[in-house]
Amino acid sequence: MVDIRSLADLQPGNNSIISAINGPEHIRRRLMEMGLVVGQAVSVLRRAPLGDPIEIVVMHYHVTLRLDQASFISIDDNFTPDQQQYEFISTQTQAQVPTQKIEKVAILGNPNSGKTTLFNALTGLRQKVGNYPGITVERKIGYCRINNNEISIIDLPGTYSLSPQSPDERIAVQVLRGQRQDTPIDAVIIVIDACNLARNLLLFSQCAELQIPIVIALSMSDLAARDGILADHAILREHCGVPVVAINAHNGDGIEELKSAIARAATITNTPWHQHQRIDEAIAAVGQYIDPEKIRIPLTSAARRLLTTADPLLDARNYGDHNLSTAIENEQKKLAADNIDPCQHDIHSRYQWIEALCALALPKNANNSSRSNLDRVSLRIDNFLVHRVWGLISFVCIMAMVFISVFYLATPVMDFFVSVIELCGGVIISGLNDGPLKALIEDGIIAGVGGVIVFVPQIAILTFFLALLEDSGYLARASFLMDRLLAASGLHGKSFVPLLGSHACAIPGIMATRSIEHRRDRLATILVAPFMACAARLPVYYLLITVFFFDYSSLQQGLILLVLYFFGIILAVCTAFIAKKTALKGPSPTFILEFPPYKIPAWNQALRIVYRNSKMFVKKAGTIILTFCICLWAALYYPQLTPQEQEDIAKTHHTTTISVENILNNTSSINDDSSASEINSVLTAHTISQEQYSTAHSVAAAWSAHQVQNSFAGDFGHFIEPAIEPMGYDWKIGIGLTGAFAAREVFVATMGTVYSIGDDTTEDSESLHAAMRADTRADGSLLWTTPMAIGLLAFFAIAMQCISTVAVVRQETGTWTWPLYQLLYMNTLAYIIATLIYQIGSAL
Amino acid sequence: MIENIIVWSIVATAAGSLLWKLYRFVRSMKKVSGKQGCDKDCGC
Repeated sequence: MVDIRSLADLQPGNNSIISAINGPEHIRRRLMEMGLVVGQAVSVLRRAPLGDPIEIVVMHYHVTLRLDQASFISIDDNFTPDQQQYEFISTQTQAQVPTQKIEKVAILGNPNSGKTTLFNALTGLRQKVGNYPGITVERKIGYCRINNNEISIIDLPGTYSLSPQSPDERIAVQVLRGQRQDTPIDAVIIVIDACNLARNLLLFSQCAELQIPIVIALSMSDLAARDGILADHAILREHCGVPVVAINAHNGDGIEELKSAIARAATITNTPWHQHQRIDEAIAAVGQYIDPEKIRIPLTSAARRLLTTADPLLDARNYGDHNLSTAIENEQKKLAADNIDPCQHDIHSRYQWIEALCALALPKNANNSSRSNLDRVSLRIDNFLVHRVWGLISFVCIMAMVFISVFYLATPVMDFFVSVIELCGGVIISGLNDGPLKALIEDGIIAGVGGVIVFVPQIAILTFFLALLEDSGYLARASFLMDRLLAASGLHGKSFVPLLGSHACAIPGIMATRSIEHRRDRLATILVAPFMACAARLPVYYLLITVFFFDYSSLQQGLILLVLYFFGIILAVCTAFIAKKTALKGPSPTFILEFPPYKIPAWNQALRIVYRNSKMFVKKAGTIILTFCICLWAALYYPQLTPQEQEDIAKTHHTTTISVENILNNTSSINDDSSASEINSVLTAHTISQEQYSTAHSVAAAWSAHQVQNSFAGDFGHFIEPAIEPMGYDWKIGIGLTGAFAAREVFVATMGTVYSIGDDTTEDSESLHAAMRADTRADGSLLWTTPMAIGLLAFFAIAMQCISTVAVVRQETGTWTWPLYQLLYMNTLAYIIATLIYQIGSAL
Repeated sequence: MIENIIVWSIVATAAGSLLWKLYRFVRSMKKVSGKQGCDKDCGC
C-alpha cells in the first residue's frame, strides 16, 4: 500500500522521503532551492511550543517552516529515488585573461555562510557580522590590494539562489547582473559553507550560468576538517571548473591563497549537469526571440529563467517583442502537456549533479546522520531552549534579564558619570564671573548635554546584550518560538529580529526587514517597528521613572521599564493585527528560516558594536543635542528682566533689588552641602538675619521663574499650552515635547535646562528630580502628578517623534504614504491615550 | 559687551547649524523621492 502524506502530518522524531512538492510557484521554488527536492530524506525534529512552526532536518541542516508550507510537501516512506549511476559532464572553462585587470569582486553566498567575515579579512574593515541569516541587507564596499592593484570588494547580502524573493536577495542578484550603479563586476567569490556543501553548491550552479569568473572559497573548513567532512578540493576543482580555496577567515588561513586565486578566476562555458532534453529544446525555442542587445546575462540563462519563471526581476516585455511572451507561453503549455515541470526539473537536475559530486568529494566515512560536533551541541542546547515548556520560560527569562539589567547594572556607572560631569562642569565654570557666558555653559550646555550623556552606560549595556544574543545563534530560535504568537497578529517569525533590533534603534530594525520576502509582511513590520522602545526613549523613561518611582528599588524600577517595553510590543501587535485585517490584508505569510549552529559569542565583536552605538549616541549629543540646547537656552534666557521688573518683584517681597543682590553675593559660599552651623556663621559674619536670607532666595527664585515664563521659549510654551493641557502638561513640558521631535533625548535636556534656569537649581540630577517633583501649577497644585507622569510615559512609548525614522520608512517603502500615515496614527494615538490616562487618573 | 558678543556668536552658530541640518535633511529627502518609484529592477 502506498502511503502518501504531507510533511505536516509527520510526527517529531520520524523521517520519510519527499515524493512531491506542491503549492504556489514561489513557495515551491524556495522549498526546492533549500534542498527539499523529490527523493530527499527529511525528518521532523520538533514542533514549536505552540504547535507551529516545525523544525526539520534536510541535507544535514536544520530549517524551520510553518505547517502551511509543510503541507505542500508530500512524503512517502516507500518512495524509491532514482539510483542510476550519474555520468559527469566535464566542464569547459575559460580562464581569466591574464591581461584583463580585475577591479571589482563580489562576495556571494548563502545567508550565514561567512561572507562578511571574509569581507572583513580581505579589506581590513570591521563590518558587523552575526550568527543569524540576514545580517547583511545592503551591499558594502571595501578595498583590498592584490598584486599591487587596488580591488573593490563588494559584500553582498546572502541569498539561497538567484531567484530573489526578498529585497536583500534582489540587491545581490542585481549586482551580479550589472543592474546596479557600481557594477558590472569582474569576478565573484562564492563562499560555500564546507559543513553544508550540497545546499551551498546550488548557488554556484546558478552563478556559473551567468558566465562570470568565479572562485570558490570554502568557509568554515576548519570545522569541517575537525569533523571529518571536509570535501576534496581537487575533485571539487575538477568538476566545478573553477579555483577552490579552503579558508578560515577568523584567523586568516587561506586568505593569501584566495587573493592569488582571484587572478585565476574562471568562467564556465557549459553547464556540467544533465538537463532534460525537452527543456533544452524549449530554451532554444524561447532564446531565439530574446533581443541580445537588451539583456546583460547570457542568452541561454535568460531563456531558462524566463521559461521556468524563476525570476521576478526578469520581465519578458523588456527583452523582446510580443513574440517572446507568446513563445514562453507556448513552450510552457507544451511542457505541461508532456507532464514536465520546468521549475522542478531545473532544480532537480542541479541537485542530482550536486549529490553525485558530494558523493565523490566528501570522505566516504563522513557520518551522515549527525554531521558535526557543532550540530550535536546545538541539538542538546535546543532540547532545552526550544523545548515545549522550558523554551518559552527561558525566552521570557532571557528577555527580562536583558531589560532589567539595563536598569540594574547601569545605575552605578551612571552615578559615576554624573560625578565626572559635575566635577568637570565645576572646574569650567569656577573661573567665570556671573553673566550670560557662565549661564550658557552651566544651564545650557552642562545641564542639557550632560543630562543626556549620562545615559551612555544604559545604551552600551542594552546593545551589548543584544549583540551577544545575535552572535550566539539564539535569535533564529527566538523567531521560531515567537512565530505562532506573531502569526496571530499577521506578522511572522522573521519580524522578530527587526523588532528586537528596533529596541536599540528603529532605523537598523527597519532596514533589517529587507530579509522578509513579501511586501505586505515587510510593510506590517515597518509599520510597527517604531513602537519598540528604542534607546532614545530610554533616557526619558529613566528620568520619569526615577522622578516618580524614586522610593522603589532598582529591581522594581527595572520591572517598570520592562512593562513599558511590553507596552510597546502589545501596541505593535495590535497595530499589525488591524493593518493585516485591513490595508495589508493578504494570504498567510511564508516562514522558512535556517537554524544556524550555536556558537560562543565573540566578545570583541559585541564590544565593537557597543563602541559604535555609544559613539553614535555621544556624537548625537555633541551635535544635534548640543546645538539644540544652546538655542533652547537662548530662547529661555532672553529677553532678560528689566531692572524695573526686578525691582517690582522685590517690592512684592518687601525688599529691594540692591538688598537682595548684596545678600546673595555675601552668601555665595553657601551651597546645598553646607551644614546649619556653617550657614549660621556666614550669616552672622555679614549680619544677615535668617529671614532676610530666606526672602533674598525667594526673590531670586521669583526672578528666575518670571524670567523663564516671559522668555521667547516661555511665550512659545504658553502658545501651545491649550493643546497639551488635556494631557495635564504645562508650557514647560510643551517645550520639551516640541524639542523631542528633533531627538527624543532632547526632552531630558530641555527639562534639565528649564529647571536649571527656572528654579535656581544646580544641574545635578538629584536637584533636577527634586525640582520636578516640587513644581506647581499657577493654582498651587502639583504639576507632576502620578496620572500625568504615567500619561507622559505612555505618550513617549507611543508617539513617533524621530525624523530620521520617518526618512528611513520613506526610503524603504518607496512612498510618502506609509511614513505620513505612521506619523499621524502614532501621534494621534499617543495624544488620545495620554489624555485618557490623565483625565481618568485625575478623576479617580 | 565682549561676553555678550561671544554668547550671541555661539547661539548664532548653533542656530545656523540646526538650520543647515534641516536643509540637508529636506534635500536628502528630495533625492530619495527621485530615486524611488520602481520596485522591480528592470535596469531602469
